[in-house]
Amino acid sequence: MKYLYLNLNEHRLDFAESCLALTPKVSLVGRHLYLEITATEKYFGGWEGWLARFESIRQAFEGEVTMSGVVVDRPEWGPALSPGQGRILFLPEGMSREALLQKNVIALLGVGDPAKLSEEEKDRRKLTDFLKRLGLYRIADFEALSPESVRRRFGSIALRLHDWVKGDRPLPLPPFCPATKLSEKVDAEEAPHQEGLVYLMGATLNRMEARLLGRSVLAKKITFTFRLENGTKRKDLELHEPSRNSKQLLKLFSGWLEGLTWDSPLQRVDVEISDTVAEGQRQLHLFDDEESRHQDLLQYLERLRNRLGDERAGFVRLKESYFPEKAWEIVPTPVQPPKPREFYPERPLYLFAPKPFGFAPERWKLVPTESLATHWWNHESPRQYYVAYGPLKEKLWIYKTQGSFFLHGEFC
Amino acid sequence: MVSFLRSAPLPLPSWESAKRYAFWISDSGQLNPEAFHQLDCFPLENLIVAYPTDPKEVWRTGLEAIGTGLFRWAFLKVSTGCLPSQLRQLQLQSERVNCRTFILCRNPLPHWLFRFSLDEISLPKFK
Repeated sequence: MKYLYLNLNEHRLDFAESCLALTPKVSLVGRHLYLEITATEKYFGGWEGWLARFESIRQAFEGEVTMSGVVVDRPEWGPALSPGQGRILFLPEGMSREALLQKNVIALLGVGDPAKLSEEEKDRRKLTDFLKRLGLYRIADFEALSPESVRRRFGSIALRLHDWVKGDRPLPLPPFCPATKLSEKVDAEEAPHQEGLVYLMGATLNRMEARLLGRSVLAKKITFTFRLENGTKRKDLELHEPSRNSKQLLKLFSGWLEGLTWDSPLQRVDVEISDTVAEGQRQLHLFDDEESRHQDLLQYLERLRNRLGDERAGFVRLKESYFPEKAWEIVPTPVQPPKPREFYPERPLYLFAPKPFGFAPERWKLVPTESLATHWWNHESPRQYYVAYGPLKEKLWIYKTQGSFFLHGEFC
Repeated sequence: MVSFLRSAPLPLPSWESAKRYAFWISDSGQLNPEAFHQLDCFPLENLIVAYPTDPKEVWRTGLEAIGTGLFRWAFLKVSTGCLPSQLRQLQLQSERVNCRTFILCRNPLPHWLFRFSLDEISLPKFK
């Protein structure tokens, strides 16, 4: 199993909620956040895909949350192996145990059930001091002792720690459930003017977007409560098209803010997503399910791109290029192509990456089709294309350049 | 295949074609979208392409894509065959979601009898 352990100082609940977009197995105990990577690693196209997704969530909290953490095999070793100082350590799979054993015995303060770390801290400190006095400086020395001698010499806490270090004791992590209310507060006293308030709101809406993503919902109605010195003003922002895009919401907010006035200094703004709609259940056409189908398709495509890579799955966008193999690219969303050309030379429906083509020319019939003067600035030679009819009824698309033939496509 | 695509009842009124998607997957080589677009038989913006490197992934992803029920047409161009059970699953899924599935494979496939083979009608006659 692979876990990401994080030690958070701020916005713990919000960050944990956002992480539900990464894995359903999220646990938050105090300031300790545990994310099980193994459960969804494959879904996001492997470790790199998972990490890229995590990074996008982390960026939504940039400047708001300081975190340090470690990728570990067992969650109970997380706090002990975490490097601190806002850094995240990536231990390769199977290396966590070795890394733990090399640590100083003081790291025993962070091994085990995170709910009991602060409660047992005093006893653990005494134990680590005692171990040092006995000449046991590394966790490996402590782990090498037999359980019976640990219990006899150091007591039951030491025996429990010994079990945690050996990995003999499972750590049941409580599942994280987000709060029912989705709200944030913006301290408006920090913003001297309207632009400042929009700037602060941008950071808040970024966090909101990440939280909405964690819940897999879209905002339908946002309530802003303006806390003024002499009272409060409440305004609802109804979205015709449910969304969670923070940039889009911010644009709406700033446009909408221009029409608002208040007669005393603004102290705070409370933002609450008062109505949401589950992702995929948007306002649909009356007579068909085209929009939801399109939404499903984009979601499926995103999963496919995560798994195969962005270059290997998607819609196709045509672009101008003399090279047939460079006349298109793969994109994540559909693009309306230009109208078919009036003149289009005979080209195959199936292309290969050009590869040298060795054949007996006397047994093949070559019909020249087009000549392409390719990019001279890249020192590429012109290509003369042929349709090649083979003795076994093959119909191939080949080209000749600098005296050599290359197979480029197949008519099927 | 070109002649088949041209003769098949693919052209649809624009309001209906907009909600029909096709899926092309192959493990070696790629579909030439420019040539496909020139055929003017199916809207290119409704075509999704996937190019895994492993032939097994073609079968797996093809089955998965058809199973989503999002596609009306699926083209699997694959360099190796698959197990009879996988082929049967593909056929059952295609029927369940009403997807027309085309398998383009040089190697003979196990025991399954296709309704017809495109090779017979699409390969040009050498003159």
